[in-house]
Amino acid sequence: MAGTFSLEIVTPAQAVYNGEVAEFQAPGLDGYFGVLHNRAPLISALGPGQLKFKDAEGLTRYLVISGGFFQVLRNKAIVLADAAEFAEDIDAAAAAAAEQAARDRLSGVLSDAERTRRQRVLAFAKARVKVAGQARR
Amino acid sequence: MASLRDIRSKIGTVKNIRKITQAMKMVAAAKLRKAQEKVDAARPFADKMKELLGEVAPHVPAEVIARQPLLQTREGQRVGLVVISSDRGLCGSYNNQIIRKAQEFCQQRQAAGQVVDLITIGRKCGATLRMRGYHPQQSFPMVGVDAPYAEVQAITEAVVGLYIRADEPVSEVWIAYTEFVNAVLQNARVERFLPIEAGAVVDAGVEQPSSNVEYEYEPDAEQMLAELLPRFVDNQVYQYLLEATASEYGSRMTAMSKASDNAGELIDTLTLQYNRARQDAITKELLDIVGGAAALAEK
Repeated sequence: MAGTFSLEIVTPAQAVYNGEVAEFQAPGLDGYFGVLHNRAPLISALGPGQLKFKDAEGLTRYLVISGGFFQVLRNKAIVLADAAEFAEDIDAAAAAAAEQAARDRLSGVLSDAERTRRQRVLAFAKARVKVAGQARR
Repeated sequence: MASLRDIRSKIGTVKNIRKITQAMKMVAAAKLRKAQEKVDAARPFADKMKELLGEVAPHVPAEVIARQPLLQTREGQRVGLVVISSDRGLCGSYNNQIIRKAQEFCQQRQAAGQVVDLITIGRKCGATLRMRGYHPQQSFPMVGVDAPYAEVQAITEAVVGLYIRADEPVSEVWIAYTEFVNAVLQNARVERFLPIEAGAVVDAGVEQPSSNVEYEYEPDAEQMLAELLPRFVDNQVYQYLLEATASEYGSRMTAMSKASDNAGELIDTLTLQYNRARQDAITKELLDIVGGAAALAEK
């Protein structure tokens, strides 16, 4: 197997993960991208979506993130996310309820800025439900 | 002089008060520890954020930086002030100090002919400032130690809204908060918050040895900066709030500890009074008996 690189996932509230990983996939603004050992230096913005990585033991883990930034340099990767949650920590029922609530809040007349903001919330809620589904596999 | 019974019931009251203040002190100490843990937990993110900003900023042409709304300085007769206080009292001079600072700031600015737009966080400063004739545009309750980040973002949005989205945008946003030095020392202070000084952002990159690495940007550095700045501001507000929370609990802990000490002293004084009164009563009774016996003996 190819080499590993260190990955750190931090949110404003706490450090979510810190360890060696072999493969990593994240939701960039223009779609998902993958990162492997010896990736050239990259700084990328992340959208809301599913974050996936395979740790050194070959175990694949899923997280949902609400958007943030990604930086990799000399096999050190950092994810700065506004919110991040491991799939196994998500309460599927609560996530589904949150998605419905986010959908409801999108109806009616809204200013552009408000609509964009709520759409982001919905996108995060959707991703959360999807990732919650990954935990049971 | 108060009767024996009065004094006894007073001692009982003060003892009860001391129980409460001691309990509050312990609760405040526990919450302070939690708040400090939060401050520590939040530090890596803030540091990384600054690092990233320093990494990106040098790759963006100066004129683009100047176009960023959050970095733009402008002239104007309107300033914004965000005051952070607590929701509850019984925390010593914590709220008074911050409100006094905020008021001084308002008076200075108004004397200079400027209009001050207020946002208050925490019920105490909201209520007090309103009573003193100020009209905060928006008031939020203080966010607790466990508040989700989204709650903080609602506040940030209001703060940034003053600066870039209001009909009459302010030219500067200041923030009045209490800096946490340690559990017994907190400083109320007023700081300029927006615009972010462009110089500070660029300088952060210069100090970093890695800033000569050529990164790939996705999207380009300019858009990245536009994405980064609002989050940077979010995070700054979060830091201010955390610091204010820690200060609040520190202040409450000290205040309650002092209150418990005072209650102890009061109990000592009252007990002394009680014993004296009791002794007086005994002496009086003895005098009566001796006097009565002497009168009988004379007959």
